[in-house]
Amino acid sequence: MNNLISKIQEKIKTSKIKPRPKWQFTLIAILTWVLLLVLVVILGLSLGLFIELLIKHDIPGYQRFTSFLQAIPYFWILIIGLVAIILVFKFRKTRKGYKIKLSYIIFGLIVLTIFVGFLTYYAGIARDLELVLENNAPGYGKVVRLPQDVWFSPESGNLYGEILKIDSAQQFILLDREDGIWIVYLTSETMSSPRIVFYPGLEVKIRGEVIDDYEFEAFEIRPGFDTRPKGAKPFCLQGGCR
Amino acid sequence: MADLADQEQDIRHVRRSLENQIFYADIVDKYQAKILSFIRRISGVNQEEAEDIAQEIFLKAYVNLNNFDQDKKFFSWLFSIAHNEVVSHWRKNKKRLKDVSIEGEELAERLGKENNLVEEIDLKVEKTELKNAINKLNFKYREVLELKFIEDYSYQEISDIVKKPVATVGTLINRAKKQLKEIMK
Repeated sequence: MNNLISKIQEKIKTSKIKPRPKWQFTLIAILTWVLLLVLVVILGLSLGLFIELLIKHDIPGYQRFTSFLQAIPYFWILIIGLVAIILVFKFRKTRKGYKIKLSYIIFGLIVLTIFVGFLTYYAGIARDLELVLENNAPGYGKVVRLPQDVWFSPESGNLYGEILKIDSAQQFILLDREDGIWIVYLTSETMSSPRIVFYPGLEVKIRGEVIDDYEFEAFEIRPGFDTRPKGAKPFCLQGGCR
Repeated sequence: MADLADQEQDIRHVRRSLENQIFYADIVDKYQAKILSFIRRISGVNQEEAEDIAQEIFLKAYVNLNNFDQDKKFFSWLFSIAHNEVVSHWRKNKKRLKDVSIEGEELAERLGKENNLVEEIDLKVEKTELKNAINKLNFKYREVLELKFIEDYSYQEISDIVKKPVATVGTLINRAKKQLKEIMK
């Protein structure tokens, strides 16, 4: 038995083993909590972003479920899932973390994520982040299905693009996301918000049907995702201009 | 009261060890027997191997002395290090240790005296039979039984050692008893 004591003393001496300083443990504890906080924020932001995208998709009711399934960023969810696992694992490694049942931790994490997610959505943070990512993050459009892409499926009755030229109150020319040029026909039954002011450069979402090669009949026209004027002169359609 | 004095003594030992490593011998001296018997009983290694594991445990404890939370009991902290070390040793040598017979005599005796278990298991069986059954128990179950019935630790203390919620410790002990019952059928 005393042999063990001398062996340990010897090992401490020869290997010059020293107790790790207290500040290292404190630092690790602080870093762990900071990491936990950051991960919760990432989870919350992701949810906020997802809500933002879903709402931005603005899909007609009958296509909503399919669109919802398509809008789910599966790759992102995988990453987020891994983040959540790290989060739970790290939390359980904290001084008191192991005392809480795993199911309670997961439930708490879900509640916290939903809270932060809705908070970021309603505070507009998710919207700003979405714009930043869309404009600056390469590959973002591959990870998530952008609203513009959701609306660009002419065969399904959705067309998205920028008005190039307005020929008359019944027709305009539209440039789609793949540089296709469409003639869009409007009828007296075409619905559009009376607040929409059409002008070249305006991005629009159109619901309708393909009637010929690059010819589309519009049933409904909604403002596009980027409604900022590009300096073109407004053109009022069917007296809807204000 | 005795517990409190014990804890105060441990804290004193820790402080002195941090000042001078010579005093760490007091800690090793106080706990080596308990740690060695814990290692041997739950992992089934021989004395020599148990001493190697114990050495690792005490060295790790020494390196992490500053991480000891004085609000908790020192032995819980030390046993939690022992738990991790034994689990890691067990994982590395799983195949080799699988068929090793464990000195479960004391555990068998204590378990036999456990009233609830006497009711649950018809303890007309021989003690050796119980010992054999303990040998067949899953590692995690054997560990909690050991901590509960040999070391006589409370659920809270076992929770601090195995780093699992108290309720889970209770479940583990119940499952361990159930598994014992199954094996002995």
